[in-house]
Amino acid sequence: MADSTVRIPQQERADQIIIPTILLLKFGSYLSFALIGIGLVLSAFQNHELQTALRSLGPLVNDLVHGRAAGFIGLGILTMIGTPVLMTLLIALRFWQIDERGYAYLTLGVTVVLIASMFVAMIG
Amino acid sequence: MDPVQALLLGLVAMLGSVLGSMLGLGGGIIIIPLFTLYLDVDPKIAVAASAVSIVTNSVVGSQKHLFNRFVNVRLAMILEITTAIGAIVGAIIAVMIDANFLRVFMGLMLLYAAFTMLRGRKIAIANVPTDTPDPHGLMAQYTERDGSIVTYLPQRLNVGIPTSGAAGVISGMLGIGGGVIQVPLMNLIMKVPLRAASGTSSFMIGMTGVASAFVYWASGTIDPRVTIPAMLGVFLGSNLGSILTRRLDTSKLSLFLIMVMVYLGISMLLDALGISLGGLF
Repeated sequence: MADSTVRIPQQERADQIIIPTILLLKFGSYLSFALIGIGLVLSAFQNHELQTALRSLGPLVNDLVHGRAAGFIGLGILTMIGTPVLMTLLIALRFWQIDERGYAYLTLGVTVVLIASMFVAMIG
Repeated sequence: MDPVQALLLGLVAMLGSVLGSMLGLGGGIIIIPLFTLYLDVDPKIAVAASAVSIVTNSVVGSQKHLFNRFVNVRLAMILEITTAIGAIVGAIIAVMIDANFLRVFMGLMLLYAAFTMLRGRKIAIANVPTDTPDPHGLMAQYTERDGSIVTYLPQRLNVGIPTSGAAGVISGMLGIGGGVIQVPLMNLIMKVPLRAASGTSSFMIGMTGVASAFVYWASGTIDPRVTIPAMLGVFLGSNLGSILTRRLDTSKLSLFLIMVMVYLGISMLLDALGISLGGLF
């Protein structure tokens, strides 16, 4: 029986994916909370009640352009939701770079499904 | 936004997240019943807020799980394809069906989750030899606190892949992460050690949550007055949970959580019938 305490190459290759993924997740979460924080501060100063529903991108962009709290808060929530989508793209790229093409395609497939959910949502 | 209500929502989300991150669940299974039963949040708004909170919990919590090598990225991607598709289908169903049906379904899920947690408490997975055939490159390792290396090889993909799809449908419908299904699936059936099952599930939950969160966004059920306190509570709870995990005996905690889940499950079922058990918490 082989020694199960030996480091395996599968894990060593996976380690090359882990650090960039952690950095992306950190960046996404900080950016999201920073945008929400700006939105909450603006909401207090502008004396605006928070919107009761977030629905489409048009009003969100309009609110952002006019510096309204709702725009920053909506973008903050979208940034948080969008971070795992970017993460799957990054992981697909890293799998490609470490020559694991099968997993690269599979991860790209996950990305496509997540992006498709956006379109399904818009059509729905 | 009522500051007291926002504070209560944030505290409940924090509690759900602390317990969730300590026990490998997304936290939604705790957040949704408490929001709807005690904080008077509409079930559809609670489910949508929970979906966004789950993404937050995963994005924040996975950083630590990845660092500790508790995430099997290859296994996560294999299972995530069907899970994400299932989550989209589930979220579309949730937007269309009656809120009372959601209460009944959530109640049943809570009772099921309590049962699986009770069963899962006794499972231990043996180390596999490093020369075991690994056709899909899924073998992975992590280091325990005592320095020993744990090597494991996920098994029975033919069961895991479709079951993950079903977990995705339930996640999408109820706004829960699906950890309550994924962790027992990986641990009991696929023979993944509990730490790795929890870490991989926590990592997948973010992607699954995304698929349903977009649907909720477009349907207008994401209410920032509920979602933002929940996100902030989950952010704090996720960090606190990872600190407490190292200091507390999670087996006693899981027993307590099982009792709470049984109580909440029965409460949700009775609530759907118009009978209230509120006031005990």
